[in-house]
Amino acid sequence: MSITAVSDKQMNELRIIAAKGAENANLAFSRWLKEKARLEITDVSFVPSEDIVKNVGDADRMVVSVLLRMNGDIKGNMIFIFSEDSAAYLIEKVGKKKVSKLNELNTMNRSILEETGNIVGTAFLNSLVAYLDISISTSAPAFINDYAAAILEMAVMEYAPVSDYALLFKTKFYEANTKIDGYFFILPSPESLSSLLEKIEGRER
Amino acid sequence: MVINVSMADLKVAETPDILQTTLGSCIGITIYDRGNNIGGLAHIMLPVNNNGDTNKAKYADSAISELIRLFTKIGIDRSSLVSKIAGGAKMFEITKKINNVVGSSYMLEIGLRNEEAVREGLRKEGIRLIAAETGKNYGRNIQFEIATGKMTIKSHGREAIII
Repeated sequence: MSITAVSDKQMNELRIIAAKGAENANLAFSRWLKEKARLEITDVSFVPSEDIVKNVGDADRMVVSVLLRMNGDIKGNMIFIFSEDSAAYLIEKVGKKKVSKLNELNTMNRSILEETGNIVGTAFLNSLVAYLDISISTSAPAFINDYAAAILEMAVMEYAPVSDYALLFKTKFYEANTKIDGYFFILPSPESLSSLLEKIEGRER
Repeated sequence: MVINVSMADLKVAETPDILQTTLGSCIGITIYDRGNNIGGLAHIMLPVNNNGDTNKAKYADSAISELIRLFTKIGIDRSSLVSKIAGGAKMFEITKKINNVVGSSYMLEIGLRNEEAVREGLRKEGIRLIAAETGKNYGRNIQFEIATGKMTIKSHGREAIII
């Protein structure tokens, strides 16, 4: 698909959708952490596939990632990326216990992170589903501990053969006043992106 | 100096430089001439440059030709060039369990297709492939030392491999 075909109206709508999604995700995230937490949308943009790794700071570091698959009217990948320190912090917050070393990530700790991705991702999508009157289901979350660059590369490679650009919803996390070093990306498939844009275009405001 | 090579990019450097990149299903192709202390690294994403994309470093075939062009331009004999490659992970294996609905063979095999295209490209250009560390289902950070021709490959929770 060509990004030049995306109108200003569609871009604005995408930003509105992202903001609504983040609002809903905030509530879910706060309930999950039992503390006021927020998810801030920092950018909604179309980026060349090869530039996506430039969006996570130092991409050569080891990170913890949770991947969710979207199916239904919008297909694609949702990816959460946390620095190892922030992942340990989240486990401590939710699990109410000290995590000394992330290398010793046991099943319990992994599930806490998977569930975090699941709760925040689903909340984001729920608002999108309601706003656009569409249907999306998500897979069970998958946990990956690898280089940030390798994980993002994997996520864009799926569509790189058919599309040079990826739509990126980029967010940052905060918990109370602590900045959680985390990122949340939504990468719809090119086909579902086209139908999403059509849906938006036809929408009366 | 450690020089970073981004996704869909290529760089040529000289001793004592080190070229580095991090790979998932992409492939890092080094082509070098130890005798002349010069080497290059390309981080390719896709097998074939079908549409004449000007970003030659993005595809296996055009990245290999471009690296060779840069060497021969400065008078290096292509017969003295050799290659080592790494990457091409089948990272989606990890997500197969959540992938029961979607999952074209293309996407599962993109790492493999990349590797085949790289091997084919090197063969066509007559460049000898002397070592490869590819496939599996994890990311790799590679550091290529031009002075020695050694490639150090690091990955999560594993001992570093030197090829």
